[in-house]
Amino acid sequence: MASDTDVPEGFRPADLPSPFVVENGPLYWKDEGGNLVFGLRIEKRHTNAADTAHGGLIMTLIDMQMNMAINYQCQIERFIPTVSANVDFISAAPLGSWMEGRTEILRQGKRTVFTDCRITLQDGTLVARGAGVFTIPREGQVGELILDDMFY
Amino acid sequence: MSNDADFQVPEGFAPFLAEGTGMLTHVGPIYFKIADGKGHLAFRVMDHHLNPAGDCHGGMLATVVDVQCGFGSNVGANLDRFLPTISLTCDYLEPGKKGDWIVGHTEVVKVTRRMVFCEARLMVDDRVLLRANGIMKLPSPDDKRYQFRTPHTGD
Repeated sequence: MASDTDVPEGFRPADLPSPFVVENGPLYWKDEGGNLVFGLRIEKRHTNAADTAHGGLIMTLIDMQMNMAINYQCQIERFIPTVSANVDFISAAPLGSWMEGRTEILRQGKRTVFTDCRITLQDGTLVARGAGVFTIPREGQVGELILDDMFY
Repeated sequence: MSNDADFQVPEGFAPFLAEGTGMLTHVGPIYFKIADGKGHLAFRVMDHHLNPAGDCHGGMLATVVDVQCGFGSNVGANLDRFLPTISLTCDYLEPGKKGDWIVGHTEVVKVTRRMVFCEARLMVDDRVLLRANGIMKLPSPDDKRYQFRTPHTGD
Protein backbone atom coordinates (compact mmCIF):
# COMPACT_ATOMS: atom_id res chain seq x y z
CA MET A 1 0.00 0.00 0.00
CA ALA A 2 1.49 3.36 -1.02
CA SER A 3 2.38 5.67 1.85
CA ASP A 4 1.22 9.27 1.90
CA THR A 5 4.55 10.42 0.50
CA ASP A 6 4.00 8.28 -2.60
CA VAL A 7 0.76 10.01 -3.51
CA PRO A 8 0.96 13.65 -4.60
CA GLU A 9 -1.12 16.20 -2.74
CA GLY A 10 -4.77 16.47 -3.65
CA PHE A 11 -5.16 12.90 -4.89
CA ARG A 12 -7.50 10.42 -3.21
CA PRO A 13 -8.13 6.72 -3.97
CA ALA A 14 -10.76 6.13 -6.65
CA ASP A 15 -13.30 3.42 -5.87
CA LEU A 16 -14.14 1.97 -9.27
CA PRO A 17 -16.42 -1.06 -9.73
CA SER A 18 -14.07 -2.66 -12.22
CA PRO A 19 -12.13 -5.79 -11.21
CA PHE A 20 -9.46 -5.23 -13.87
CA VAL A 21 -8.81 -1.69 -12.69
CA VAL A 22 -8.69 -2.78 -9.04
CA GLU A 23 -6.17 -5.49 -9.99
CA ASN A 24 -3.95 -3.02 -11.80
CA GLY A 25 -4.29 -0.01 -9.55
CA PRO A 26 -4.28 1.61 -7.15
CA LEU A 27 -5.80 4.43 -9.13
CA TYR A 28 -6.03 7.87 -7.51
CA TRP A 29 -8.04 10.87 -8.61
CA LYS A 30 -8.48 14.58 -8.09
CA ASP A 31 -10.71 17.35 -9.37
CA GLU A 32 -8.97 20.01 -11.41
CA GLY A 33 -11.33 22.85 -12.24
CA GLY A 34 -14.23 20.45 -12.69
CA ASN A 35 -12.16 17.95 -14.69
CA LEU A 36 -11.15 14.47 -13.63
CA VAL A 37 -7.44 13.72 -13.24
CA PHE A 38 -6.36 10.12 -12.59
CA GLY A 39 -2.97 9.28 -11.11
CA LEU A 40 -1.00 6.05 -10.81
CA ARG A 41 2.43 5.19 -9.41
CA ILE A 42 4.27 2.68 -11.66
CA GLU A 43 5.12 -0.49 -9.75
CA LYS A 44 6.99 -3.60 -10.91
CA ARG A 45 3.76 -5.41 -11.83
CA HIS A 46 2.91 -2.59 -14.26
CA THR A 47 6.10 -2.93 -16.25
CA ASN A 48 7.49 -4.47 -19.41
CA ALA A 49 10.87 -6.10 -20.02
CA ALA A 50 12.54 -2.66 -20.06
CA ASP A 51 11.25 -1.77 -16.55
CA THR A 52 9.02 0.98 -17.89
CA ALA A 53 5.23 1.18 -17.84
CA HIS A 54 3.79 -1.50 -20.12
CA GLY A 55 2.03 -0.20 -23.22
CA GLY A 56 -1.04 -2.12 -22.19
CA LEU A 57 -1.07 -0.43 -18.79
CA ILE A 58 -0.83 2.99 -20.39
CA MET A 59 -3.68 2.05 -22.72
CA THR A 60 -5.70 0.90 -19.72
CA LEU A 61 -5.05 4.20 -17.93
CA ILE A 62 -5.97 6.17 -21.07
CA ASP A 63 -9.12 4.08 -21.57
CA MET A 64 -10.17 4.68 -17.94
CA GLN A 65 -9.13 8.34 -18.08
CA MET A 66 -11.19 9.14 -21.19
CA ASN A 67 -14.08 6.88 -20.22
CA MET A 68 -14.51 8.12 -16.66
CA ALA A 69 -13.90 11.71 -17.68
CA ILE A 70 -17.02 11.40 -19.81
CA ASN A 71 -18.93 10.18 -16.75
CA TYR A 72 -17.42 12.90 -14.54
CA GLN A 73 -17.24 15.90 -16.86
CA CYS A 74 -20.48 15.21 -18.76
CA GLN A 75 -22.30 14.01 -15.62
CA ILE A 76 -23.44 10.74 -17.20
CA GLU A 77 -24.07 7.90 -14.78
CA ARG A 78 -23.95 5.02 -17.23
CA PHE A 79 -21.11 2.75 -18.28
CA ILE A 80 -19.55 4.19 -21.47
CA PRO A 81 -18.19 1.52 -23.86
CA THR A 82 -15.09 2.35 -25.90
CA VAL A 83 -15.48 2.23 -29.66
CA SER A 84 -11.96 3.22 -30.64
CA ALA A 85 -8.79 4.29 -28.83
CA ASN A 86 -5.77 5.56 -30.73
CA VAL A 87 -2.69 5.87 -28.55
CA ASP A 88 0.74 7.25 -29.41
CA PHE A 89 3.55 6.34 -27.03
CA ILE A 90 5.73 9.40 -26.80
CA SER A 91 8.14 8.68 -23.97
CA ALA A 92 8.71 5.89 -21.48
CA ALA A 93 7.40 6.11 -17.91
CA PRO A 94 10.05 4.55 -15.65
CA LEU A 95 9.37 2.23 -12.73
CA GLY A 96 8.52 4.34 -9.69
CA SER A 97 7.26 7.35 -11.61
CA TRP A 98 3.82 8.94 -11.13
CA MET A 99 1.61 9.16 -14.23
CA GLU A 100 -1.33 11.55 -14.53
CA GLY A 101 -4.11 11.68 -17.09
CA ARG A 102 -6.24 14.55 -18.35
CA THR A 103 -9.09 14.41 -20.84
CA GLU A 104 -10.60 17.02 -23.09
CA ILE A 105 -14.14 16.30 -24.28
CA LEU A 106 -14.03 17.46 -27.90
CA ARG A 107 -17.66 16.79 -28.69
CA GLN A 108 -20.52 15.09 -26.95
CA GLY A 109 -23.17 14.07 -29.45
CA LYS A 110 -26.41 12.29 -28.74
CA ARG A 111 -24.80 8.85 -28.89
CA THR A 112 -21.12 9.45 -29.66
CA VAL A 113 -18.41 11.24 -27.69
CA PHE A 114 -14.98 12.29 -29.02
CA THR A 115 -12.10 12.82 -26.58
CA ASP A 116 -8.44 13.78 -26.41
CA CYS A 117 -6.25 12.59 -23.58
CA ARG A 118 -2.72 13.29 -22.39
CA ILE A 119 -0.73 11.20 -19.95
CA THR A 120 2.12 13.04 -18.27
CA LEU A 121 4.67 12.50 -15.53
CA GLN A 122 4.57 14.70 -12.45
CA ASP A 123 7.07 17.12 -13.98
CA GLY A 124 4.90 17.54 -17.07
CA THR A 125 6.86 15.23 -19.39
CA LEU A 126 4.48 13.85 -22.00
CA VAL A 127 4.24 10.06 -21.87
CA ALA A 128 1.36 9.31 -24.22
CA ARG A 129 -1.45 10.84 -26.21
CA GLY A 130 -4.82 9.26 -26.76
CA ALA A 131 -7.74 9.95 -29.05
CA GLY A 132 -10.99 8.23 -28.18
CA VAL A 133 -14.41 7.57 -29.61
CA PHE A 134 -17.06 6.36 -27.18
CA THR A 135 -20.70 5.46 -27.36
CA ILE A 136 -23.39 6.53 -24.90
CA PRO A 137 -25.72 3.57 -24.43
CA ARG A 138 -29.47 4.03 -24.23
CA GLU A 139 -30.83 4.35 -20.71
CA GLY A 140 -31.43 0.94 -19.21
CA GLN A 141 -29.14 -0.78 -21.74
CA VAL A 142 -26.22 -1.07 -19.34
CA GLY A 143 -25.64 -0.76 -15.62
CA GLU A 144 -25.53 2.50 -13.69
CA LEU A 145 -22.37 4.01 -12.29
CA ILE A 146 -22.96 6.26 -9.30
CA LEU A 147 -20.47 9.13 -9.47
CA ASP A 148 -20.70 9.92 -5.77
CA ASP A 149 -19.74 6.34 -4.92
CA MET A 150 -16.62 6.37 -7.10
CA PHE A 151 -15.39 9.91 -6.48
CA TYR A 152 -15.78 10.91 -2.87
CA MET B 1 -21.74 -21.13 -16.72
CA SER B 2 -18.64 -23.33 -17.17
CA ASN B 3 -16.62 -24.24 -14.12
CA ASP B 4 -13.11 -22.76 -14.16
CA ALA B 5 -11.74 -25.98 -12.70
CA ASP B 6 -12.97 -27.90 -15.77
CA PHE B 7 -11.28 -25.55 -18.21
CA GLN B 8 -8.68 -27.19 -20.41
CA VAL B 9 -6.21 -25.17 -22.40
CA PRO B 10 -6.89 -25.86 -26.10
CA GLU B 11 -4.40 -28.07 -27.88
CA GLY B 12 -1.20 -26.51 -29.11
CA PHE B 13 -1.11 -23.68 -26.54
CA ALA B 14 1.53 -23.36 -23.82
CA PRO B 15 2.05 -20.74 -21.08
CA PHE B 16 3.60 -17.54 -22.42
CA LEU B 17 6.43 -16.53 -20.11
CA ALA B 18 7.84 -13.34 -21.62
CA GLU B 19 11.07 -12.65 -19.75
CA GLY B 20 11.03 -9.87 -17.17
CA THR B 21 7.53 -8.61 -17.75
CA GLY B 22 5.66 -7.62 -14.63
CA MET B 23 2.42 -6.60 -16.36
CA LEU B 24 1.89 -9.69 -18.47
CA THR B 25 2.40 -12.06 -15.57
CA HIS B 26 0.12 -9.95 -13.43
CA VAL B 27 -2.84 -9.95 -15.81
CA GLY B 28 -2.39 -13.54 -16.98
CA PRO B 29 -2.39 -16.43 -17.44
CA ILE B 30 -1.52 -15.83 -21.08
CA TYR B 31 -0.79 -18.68 -23.52
CA PHE B 32 0.86 -18.90 -26.92
CA LYS B 33 1.16 -21.12 -29.91
CA ILE B 34 3.13 -20.98 -33.14
CA ALA B 35 1.57 -22.54 -36.20
CA ASP B 36 2.30 -22.11 -39.90
CA GLY B 37 4.93 -19.49 -39.12
CA LYS B 38 2.48 -17.32 -37.17
CA GLY B 39 2.50 -16.52 -33.47
CA HIS B 40 -0.73 -16.40 -31.50
CA LEU B 41 -1.30 -15.30 -27.93
CA ALA B 42 -4.44 -16.42 -26.15
CA PHE B 43 -6.20 -16.13 -22.80
CA ARG B 44 -9.46 -17.03 -21.13
CA VAL B 45 -11.55 -14.16 -19.76
CA MET B 46 -11.72 -14.52 -15.99
CA ASP B 47 -13.04 -12.52 -13.06
CA HIS B 48 -9.96 -10.32 -12.69
CA HIS B 49 -10.27 -9.15 -16.31
CA LEU B 50 -13.74 -7.65 -16.00
CA ASN B 51 -15.08 -4.12 -16.37
CA PRO B 52 -18.15 -2.61 -14.64
CA ALA B 53 -20.42 -4.14 -17.31
CA GLY B 54 -19.12 -7.65 -16.52
CA ASP B 55 -17.30 -7.91 -19.86
CA CYS B 56 -13.58 -8.15 -20.55
CA HIS B 57 -12.02 -4.76 -19.83
CA GLY B 58 -10.87 -2.86 -22.90
CA GLY B 59 -7.55 -2.26 -21.18
CA MET B 60 -6.97 -6.01 -20.89
CA LEU B 61 -7.74 -6.49 -24.59
CA ALA B 62 -5.40 -3.61 -25.40
CA THR B 63 -2.65 -5.12 -23.24
CA VAL B 64 -2.92 -8.47 -25.00
CA VAL B 65 -3.09 -6.98 -28.50
CA ASP B 66 -0.07 -4.78 -27.69
CA VAL B 67 1.99 -7.88 -26.90
CA GLN B 68 0.37 -9.77 -29.80
CA CYS B 69 1.69 -7.09 -32.16
CA GLY B 70 5.23 -7.51 -30.81
CA PHE B 71 5.20 -11.30 -30.49
CA GLY B 72 3.34 -11.85 -33.76
CA SER B 73 5.74 -9.55 -35.62
CA ASN B 74 8.79 -11.26 -34.13
CA VAL B 75 7.51 -14.66 -35.29
CA GLY B 76 6.01 -13.55 -38.60
CA ALA B 77 9.02 -11.47 -39.70
CA ASN B 78 11.79 -13.46 -37.94
CA LEU B 79 13.00 -10.58 -35.78
CA ASP B 80 13.41 -11.71 -32.14
CA ARG B 81 13.81 -8.31 -30.48
CA PHE B 82 11.73 -6.35 -28.00
CA LEU B 83 9.69 -4.05 -30.23
CA PRO B 84 8.62 -0.91 -28.32
CA THR B 85 5.19 0.29 -29.39
CA ILE B 86 5.08 3.75 -30.92
CA SER B 87 1.42 3.82 -31.84
CA LEU B 88 -1.52 1.47 -31.33
CA THR B 89 -5.08 1.96 -32.50
CA CYS B 90 -7.72 -0.35 -31.11
CA ASP B 91 -11.22 -0.60 -32.51
CA TYR B 92 -13.58 -2.44 -30.19
CA LEU B 93 -16.05 -4.33 -32.32
CA GLU B 94 -17.58 -6.74 -29.82
CA PRO B 95 -17.13 -7.24 -26.08
CA GLY B 96 -15.32 -10.28 -24.70
CA LYS B 97 -17.45 -12.30 -22.30
CA LYS B 98 -16.37 -14.12 -19.16
CA GLY B 99 -15.17 -17.59 -20.12
CA ASP B 100 -14.36 -16.63 -23.73
CA TRP B 101 -11.12 -18.07 -25.15
CA ILE B 102 -9.62 -15.10 -26.99
CA VAL B 103 -6.93 -15.72 -29.62
CA GLY B 104 -4.65 -13.13 -31.22
CA HIS B 105 -3.54 -12.91 -34.83
CA THR B 106 -0.91 -10.66 -36.43
CA GLU B 107 -0.28 -9.68 -40.01
CA VAL B 108 3.04 -7.89 -40.57
CA VAL B 109 2.36 -5.30 -43.24
CA LYS B 110 5.80 -3.71 -43.55
CA VAL B 111 9.24 -3.82 -41.95
CA THR B 112 11.41 -0.78 -42.60
CA ARG B 113 14.91 -0.03 -41.35
CA ARG B 114 13.61 1.39 -38.10
CA MET B 115 9.90 0.46 -37.90
CA VAL B 116 7.45 -2.41 -38.05
CA PHE B 117 3.86 -1.87 -39.22
CA CYS B 118 1.34 -4.57 -38.36
CA GLU B 119 -2.34 -5.33 -38.09
CA ALA B 120 -3.65 -7.50 -35.31
CA ARG B 121 -6.96 -9.02 -34.28
CA LEU B 122 -8.34 -10.63 -31.17
CA MET B 123 -10.90 -13.26 -31.99
CA VAL B 124 -13.30 -15.68 -30.36
CA ASP B 125 -13.87 -18.53 -32.83
CA ASP B 126 -14.45 -16.66 -36.08
CA ARG B 127 -15.72 -13.44 -34.52
CA VAL B 128 -13.46 -10.39 -34.35
CA LEU B 129 -13.61 -8.65 -30.97
CA LEU B 130 -10.85 -6.14 -31.53
CA ARG B 131 -9.04 -4.83 -34.57
CA ALA B 132 -5.72 -3.05 -34.12
CA ASN B 133 -3.12 -1.22 -36.16
CA GLY B 134 0.31 -1.17 -34.58
CA ILE B 135 3.49 0.74 -35.30
CA MET B 136 6.56 -0.43 -33.41
CA LYS B 137 10.14 0.74 -33.24
CA LEU B 138 12.62 -1.73 -34.69
CA PRO B 139 15.75 -1.41 -32.54
CA SER B 140 19.17 -2.14 -33.99
CA PRO B 141 20.16 -5.80 -33.49
CA ASP B 142 23.17 -4.59 -31.48
CA ASP B 143 21.08 -2.56 -29.04
CA LYS B 144 21.42 -4.52 -25.83
CA ARG B 145 18.45 -2.79 -24.19
CA TYR B 146 16.05 -4.58 -26.54
CA GLN B 147 17.52 -8.06 -26.79
CA PHE B 148 15.47 -10.76 -25.17
CA ARG B 149 14.54 -14.40 -25.57
CA THR B 150 11.04 -15.37 -26.57
CA PRO B 151 9.62 -18.79 -25.73
CA HIS B 152 9.81 -20.08 -29.28
CA THR B 153 13.56 -19.60 -29.62
CA GLY B 154 14.17 -21.74 -26.55
CA ASP B 155 16.56 -20.90 -23.75
